[in-house]
Amino acid sequence: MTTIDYVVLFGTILSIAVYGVLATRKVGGLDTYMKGDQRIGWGTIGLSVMATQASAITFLSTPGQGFQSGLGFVQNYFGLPLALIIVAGVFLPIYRRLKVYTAYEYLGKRFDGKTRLLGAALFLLQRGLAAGITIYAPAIIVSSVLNWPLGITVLGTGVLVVAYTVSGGSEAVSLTQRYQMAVILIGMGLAFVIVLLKMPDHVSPDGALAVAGAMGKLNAVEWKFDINERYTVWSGIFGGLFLSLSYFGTDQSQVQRYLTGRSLRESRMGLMFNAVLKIPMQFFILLLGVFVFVFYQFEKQPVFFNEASWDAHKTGEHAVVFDEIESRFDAVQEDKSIAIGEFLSARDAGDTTAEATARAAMLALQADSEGIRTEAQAALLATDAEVKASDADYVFITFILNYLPTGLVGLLIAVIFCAALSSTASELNALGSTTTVDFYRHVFKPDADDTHSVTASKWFTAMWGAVAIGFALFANLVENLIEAVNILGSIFYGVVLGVFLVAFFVKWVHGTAVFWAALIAQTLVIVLFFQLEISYLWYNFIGCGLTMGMALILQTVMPRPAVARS
Amino acid sequence: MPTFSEHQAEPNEHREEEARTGLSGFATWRAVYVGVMVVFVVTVVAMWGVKVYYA
Repeated sequence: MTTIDYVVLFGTILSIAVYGVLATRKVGGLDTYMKGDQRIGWGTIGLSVMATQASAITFLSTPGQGFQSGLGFVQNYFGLPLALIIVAGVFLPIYRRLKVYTAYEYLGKRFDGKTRLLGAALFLLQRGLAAGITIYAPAIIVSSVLNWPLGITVLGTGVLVVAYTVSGGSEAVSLTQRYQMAVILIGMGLAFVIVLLKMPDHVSPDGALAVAGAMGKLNAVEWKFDINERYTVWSGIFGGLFLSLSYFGTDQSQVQRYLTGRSLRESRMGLMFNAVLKIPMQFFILLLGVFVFVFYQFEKQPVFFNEASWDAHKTGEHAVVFDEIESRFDAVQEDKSIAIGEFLSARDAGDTTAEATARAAMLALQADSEGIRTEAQAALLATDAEVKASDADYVFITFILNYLPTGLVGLLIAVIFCAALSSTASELNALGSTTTVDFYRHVFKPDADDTHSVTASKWFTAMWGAVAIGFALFANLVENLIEAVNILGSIFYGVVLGVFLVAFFVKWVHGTAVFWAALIAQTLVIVLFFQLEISYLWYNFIGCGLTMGMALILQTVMPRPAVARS
Repeated sequence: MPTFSEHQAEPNEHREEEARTGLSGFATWRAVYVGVMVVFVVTVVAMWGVKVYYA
């Protein structure tokens, strides 16, 4: 990174944060602090919802997933449009009508205090952990490749986001997210253009897609029904529907974003903005990773993308093994590059026989190349059993640092930090609001006035910031960060969604039945998670189904409240 | 407090919008929702088409 890159990086993230603080320095009551006085337009809501979901993990891990496994991960989002339509049509109007600050307040009004606290507690548990991962994810990767101290990176990111979130509340979060998302979209768009421009002259975008397709990287749609397959159309539509419904409908970090809308229409438009654009956005980020894969077929590719870790372990007797693996990998990559060139020439000439021969050679060499990369990971683990053997999260940042021009490197690193700040801000804002509204004001201080509640909310937001920073400082890198967050969510989300669906649609079920149903279902989901080998997306469906089914059964055998009977 | 059917039956922001604009809010939004699903189906088919074409 050059001085210009550092100026672009810090100039971008600091100016947006300072703007967020200054533009929202006059905080009125709780309505202003938690819902921005409900005066936000649909464009800002749309970008804010998108920025909340798209964390730094999205922009670090997703291109890496595209590089390694192709486009299949996009199916994870196939349930999202329908889920957002249901949220816009059912959840949103009721939340707005009841003028709630948090989604769990609705559970209190519909059922009782204990169900409200259960919903809020499940949210705080899983979102509190996820906030730590959201800060940790970019910090571990950026600090590793740029040789920054991890602790300072985590603290810097954490303190900055806590500062403007505590200061300006929900409105500061929405306003900063608008500009952070603009930086993200511009940065990723430029990266997409540059990877295409950096391809060799004989590789057109069509040729790059042909190479990717031949190597099975364009697998965006998989129709076969296999419950063990992680990403298929069916797991995406059914599991993804329940995951998205729960995330957008019941997760306070999202609910708080669209409750800031100046009318029902504005909030709905913001949600529909995401229903239309989210899948194409994920598709292009994955496709960017696929193009990076094709690019590295013609450029020297590291055998292991976390080069800092590779070099650190390449010592003593292991150095010989590492060197031997590297030289074999380089030789295979060189042969593969030639085979790909022949494949493209044959394809351009319309010579199907030569194309088939070159394709077979290319695929055989790709298998060899992947085999050597697996060997490299095994060799790394042999030196240190604790080392992280996955390098998918390092693919995109390695490309950024080595091939993007000065200035743009700083912008792309700013993209990663903007994404981290924007999603963490929503999370902290929601954690602080939920703790204040559903616990502090509900249980401990029911008579708290607006000023007292705003002060309490600021303290709780800061406290959750400290928890997230602490978790990030002591977390351990999981194999793939984006999946870790989704898996964590899938374990809890289904149950919470089940509670909300009973609340909205099954009038004769009461609080006690749904409360015990949720507790039993959550226990079963956790047990099943450790027993079964199915795609994690299905746990959203299972948790929701178990909660609803159990609530119906329990309500039929439980005595109903006297008021309900009358 | 309200289930969805109770919410629909009572005066609410949705109803107020219908009264103000003279348009049936649900019908108007239904068109938007159908449009979003059409875009989704077209997107999936396009991605599948790319996969098949370049396989």
